[in-house]
Amino acid sequence: MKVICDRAALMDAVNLVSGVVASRSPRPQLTCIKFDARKDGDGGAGTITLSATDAEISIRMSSAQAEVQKEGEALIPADKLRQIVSAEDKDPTLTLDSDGEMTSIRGADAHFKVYGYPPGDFPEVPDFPEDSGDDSFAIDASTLSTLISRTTFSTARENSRYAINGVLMRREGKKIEMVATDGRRLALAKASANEFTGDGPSTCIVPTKALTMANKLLSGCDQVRVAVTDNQIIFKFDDSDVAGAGGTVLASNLVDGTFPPYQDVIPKDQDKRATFAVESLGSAVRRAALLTNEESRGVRMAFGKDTQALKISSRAPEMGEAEINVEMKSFDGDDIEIGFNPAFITDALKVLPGEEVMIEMKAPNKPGMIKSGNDFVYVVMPVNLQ
Amino acid sequence: MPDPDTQPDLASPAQQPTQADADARSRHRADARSTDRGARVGDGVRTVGGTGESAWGGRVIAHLDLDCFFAQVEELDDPAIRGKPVIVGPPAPTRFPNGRIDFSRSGRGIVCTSNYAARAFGVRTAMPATQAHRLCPDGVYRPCRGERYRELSREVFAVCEDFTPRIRPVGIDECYLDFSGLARWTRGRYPDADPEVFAHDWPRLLASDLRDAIESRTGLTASIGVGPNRFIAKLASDYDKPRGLKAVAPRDCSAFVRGLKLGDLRGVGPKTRERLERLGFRTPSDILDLTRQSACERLGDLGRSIWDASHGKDGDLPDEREQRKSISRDRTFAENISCSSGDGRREMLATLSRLSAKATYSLRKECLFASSVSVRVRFADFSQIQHDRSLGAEDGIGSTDQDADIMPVVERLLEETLTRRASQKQLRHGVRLVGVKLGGLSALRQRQLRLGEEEQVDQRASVYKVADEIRRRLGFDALSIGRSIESDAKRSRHVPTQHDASDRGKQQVNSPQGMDGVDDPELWLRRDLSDD
Repeated sequence: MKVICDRAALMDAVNLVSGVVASRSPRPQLTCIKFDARKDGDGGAGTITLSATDAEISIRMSSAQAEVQKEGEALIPADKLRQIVSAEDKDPTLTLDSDGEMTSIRGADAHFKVYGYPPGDFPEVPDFPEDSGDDSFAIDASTLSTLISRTTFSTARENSRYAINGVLMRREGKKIEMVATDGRRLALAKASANEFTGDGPSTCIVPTKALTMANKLLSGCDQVRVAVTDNQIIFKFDDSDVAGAGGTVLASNLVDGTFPPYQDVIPKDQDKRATFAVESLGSAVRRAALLTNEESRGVRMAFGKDTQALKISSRAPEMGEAEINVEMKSFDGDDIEIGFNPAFITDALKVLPGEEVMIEMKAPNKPGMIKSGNDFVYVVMPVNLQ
Repeated sequence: MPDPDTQPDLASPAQQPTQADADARSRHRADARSTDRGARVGDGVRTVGGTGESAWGGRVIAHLDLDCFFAQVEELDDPAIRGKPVIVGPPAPTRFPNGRIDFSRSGRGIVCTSNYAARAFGVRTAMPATQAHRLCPDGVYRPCRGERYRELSREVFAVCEDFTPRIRPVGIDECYLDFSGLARWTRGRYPDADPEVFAHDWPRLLASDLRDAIESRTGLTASIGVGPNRFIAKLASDYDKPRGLKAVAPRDCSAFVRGLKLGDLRGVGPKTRERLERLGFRTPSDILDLTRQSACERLGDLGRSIWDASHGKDGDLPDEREQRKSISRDRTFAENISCSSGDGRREMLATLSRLSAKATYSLRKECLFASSVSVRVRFADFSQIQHDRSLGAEDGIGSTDQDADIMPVVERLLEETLTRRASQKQLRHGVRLVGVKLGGLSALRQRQLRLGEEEQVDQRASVYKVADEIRRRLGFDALSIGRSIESDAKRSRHVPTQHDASDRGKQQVNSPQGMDGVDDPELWLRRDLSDD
């Protein structure tokens, strides 16, 4: 294989696919990026396709910003390639020339030789199942991106209950719901797909990493097609112009497990409702959080019916205390004082830019609920303040 | 090394009794009077010479030390071994068919305690098993039975509480007691004693009553020393062991200390003694002959504290334990645990579960909450890994006093330690000890609730309350958490418990099912994941 690549485009592509490369693996091939260079039939410049996988998630993306001089394949260790491509910043182009397991990378004044592995050993990245009758749908890229960013922040990290390390995706007709929880809070986002195949409601649990990766690939893309098979979810990013690529496929194994019955924990009988401008509430909670510490992590939120104001206070032993007053747009119900982990509140407010939010509560030891329109529900358990 | 605790009062100028002191003492007397007296009036009064009240004008501090405690308990529980050399800790020597000892199988235990009969053979505390086997091959070797010792220790301290409410245990087998202001109460026990003799001798009488009460209630002998401060009290209790009794009035302190060797003094170990000898101090008298000023100048804090204490300066009980920073519990396995087998990991986890339960039991007793957890793993080569985690942000727990919150974190820390942090070499060696440490302690509690648990929070707290009450009455091991059963089963193989069962009529309440719900960290998730 011999290709002359635009360095900037190559760097973008390598950085993106590096996101799924295994950092350590008993199969050293998985620490590499696979290059596949093909000439166009009509004698054009040709395309290179980069593939990477960590055995759970795999990605394949193509770039036309390369001149293929000799077709072929190569496996190049991802971290070295990334370092070289980003360090060779004087050259507009880099030449990758591989022979068997060894690839040489040439810049204007530099010549690197990097040892890889035989390209045949690399696992195939699945193709998007076109017209196979599988469960699939198409959705606006921006809509999917909103769904992802409104849920992934609530997933558990490294929890031994693997199911909640991922995000539940449920589709019924055009309606799509994504749900994430770490056992202390739960985020539920809803949206509509453009078109779909496959009947009946379908649910699957998608690893958080796959969704984070998908979210990166969504920028600069109009529409995404998503297919769910028995054990995999496959995204195809149409019209993608990421790094000038001609089309990108991301596939991920699904999480095997049972997601907790999330409908049970969404409260139905909240009797106190306050509405706020997102920005003013977010800023107040962030400021109150300044005077919390390990020992005293919660902030106290006192909603006053008569004052129509929210007083957020915090106190850290031997450090000090804070009190912030926030104007409420409206408040409905009796006075209530309730404690929350401020990070849990700001996490949710961050994904609701420029909107109005409603906080619904019942009692200091019952869950609070943040809502934005009909498409976002966030249930957050309080901190028991003594 | 100078010990700042020796004389906490030294910094204060004159020892003028304040109103607060007087109040405290009258309270103290009232407390003491209201309790059961349990001891009998017995020993005759012996005149040591004295001129009335001034003999014990200030503080009266006693030091109580149970004689060869562990060995004594073994003798108490098994009359057949009384009088024989008893060594607690290592197993008995294994012998070849020809009767010679196979030292290669002596193990790596150390002597925890030996009785006087064994000490006559030269067996000492902290001596390796091989050496003990060599010195005393025919001794009676008994394993440590911590729970039994703790149980008796609690009983002894309970007897002490009948005498004074001001007690400060400084180990399982010793404590300091404040006898100050108990003269009138003691007088009630000895109405016929000669007033002048009594004024000088009452602390000794009281100590003797205490010693007898302990003996009659528990069958254990103790040595008690009394003095105006802890320094003298400790020297006095060591003076005449076993079953010693010695009271040193303030004005007799100097003479008493002069009669001792330099190395007997608290704070003077072998290194310090060498240093003092180089400076020309060969006996306590060499220090006491100086003026206070020059003792301070030549020997610093150490000189000053020895000089002051030996001149009968008032002392106090050790400071109330400073605010705790952490609570740790650990356990050394009888045999190294393999890291590669599932059984090994399960046993480590079971042990950690038990240790977490113990540590949080202590937390609850002290009304504290922990906000960080660390797991300690010591490998057979004595290298050690400690891995900590805050219960804050990621786990969203904040702080807790329940092991149900702590165990998932402990489990993860152990897993990470064994899979990521430990070297192949360490893993090959196997694990010798595991421990749990709870840090970030605070009386402040902020608990992040979990989804779906709002109703269960109170329920869980009340289960802990009941469990704590059962443990308070019947001992910690009366209840076991389901996941620590493996460790309990293993432990009972090493620890004979027939005495606990027969002597004490103790109920063994094992209810793993009952506690399992408490132990489950994710109450909400439990039912959904049970089929996983």
